[in-house]
Amino acid sequence: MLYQKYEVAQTLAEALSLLESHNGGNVRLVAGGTDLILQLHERILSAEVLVDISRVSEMRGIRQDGDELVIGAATTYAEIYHSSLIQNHAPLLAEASKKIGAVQIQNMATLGGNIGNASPAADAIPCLYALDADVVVASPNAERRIPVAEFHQGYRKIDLKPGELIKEIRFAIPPEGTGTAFYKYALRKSQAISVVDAAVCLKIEDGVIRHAAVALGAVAPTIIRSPEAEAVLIGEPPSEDLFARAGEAARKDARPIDDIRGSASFRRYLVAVCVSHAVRSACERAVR
Amino acid sequence: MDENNLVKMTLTVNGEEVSMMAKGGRRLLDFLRDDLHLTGSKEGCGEGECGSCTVLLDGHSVLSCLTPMERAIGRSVVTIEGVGSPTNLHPVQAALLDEGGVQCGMCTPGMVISAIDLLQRNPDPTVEEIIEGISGNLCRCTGYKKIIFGIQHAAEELRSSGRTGMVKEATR
Repeated sequence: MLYQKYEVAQTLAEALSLLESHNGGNVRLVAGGTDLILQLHERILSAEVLVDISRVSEMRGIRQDGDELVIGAATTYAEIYHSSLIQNHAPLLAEASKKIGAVQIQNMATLGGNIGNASPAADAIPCLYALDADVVVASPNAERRIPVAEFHQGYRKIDLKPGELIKEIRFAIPPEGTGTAFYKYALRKSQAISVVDAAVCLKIEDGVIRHAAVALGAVAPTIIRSPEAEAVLIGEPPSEDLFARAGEAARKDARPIDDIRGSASFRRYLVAVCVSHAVRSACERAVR
Repeated sequence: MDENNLVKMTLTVNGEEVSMMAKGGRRLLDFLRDDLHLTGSKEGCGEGECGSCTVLLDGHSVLSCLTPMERAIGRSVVTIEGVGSPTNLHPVQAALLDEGGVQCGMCTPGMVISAIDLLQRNPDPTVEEIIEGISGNLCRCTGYKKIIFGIQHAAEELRSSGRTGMVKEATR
């Protein structure tokens, strides 16, 4: 038996009160379940109670709120890449969503689950770093809003207290002239964990890059930004030479390890490849 | 807490109402195979990589090895047993047989469900879209070519007969 009791929350208030009523016990939230059920099955984790949040309406779907986009934590990757709001304003997130697992995983797995699982190789999270997104955390009495880079405190360590849940993700709609892109290197096209990936969000004004955010996946204990690559890009007009220099610069920020998917030195090499590809695509989209 | 952890499983499976008490806390795959004896859905890897356990949950393909069984309560599940029968094959099944897209058969139930999921969303897929549609299903026998041909032919067959590939249509 993977768990003793399964509770289904229909509303955010219900999810929070179920969490509270089982406080002190071994209670876990389940949205897509693609990480959790596997971890329970393989006894990496244990749980007495699962609280199903996949149908909590306040935590589902993608909407515009003023000048921000809001993605509910229980929104699936299939819903994200089908969203015209995402395709128009944050195409990098649609790209990343299409590359997570395969169709079945995309129908199940959620953005909030990806954040909560906090894998340094998560594909959607670098996009959130590049978008300067915030994680909104709810508890029975309050909500907190934390920049995604602060929410991830270390290897698989997140800023979430007992009784709290990840409610939604918010980011400012990128202004006119912005281009975004995600590039993933993995050993297969589908069902593959990234060896390295890069997410880029940049803004071009009068032919010159004015804003640049470069995020890297699978090269450090958490997703990281690359200040070195960003510094190379800002103030420069896009060119093949610049894309290559940004890629080289990003290697200085990467702190990869050897593992089953690739060696540290292969990863350091790939950082340059992924970053230069992602920067090129972002520049092409920015000027379109 | 109930020591036996019995839950009431009320759901639709392959178009039929199911209502029974069952031991909870398991995967949907285990409920389907062990309790309902629908053994068409296979456990290949058991970790969401191979797609052999793919079923439709409210019309969307999901991995039953990563789905808690209680999630199916109040919803509709379609397994390979609901897709067709030996005397009334679904066009995807018939085309896979015709093309030699079936060898050992371990991946076939999940492959058929994924193909149906694809054709419901996209009745006229390109080869690339077919490859993407079945990229969550591993086959170690056929090299995929014959499966892809089969799905292409099933798509043509469904389009020319004016059908949508919907499972209920095929079983009636």
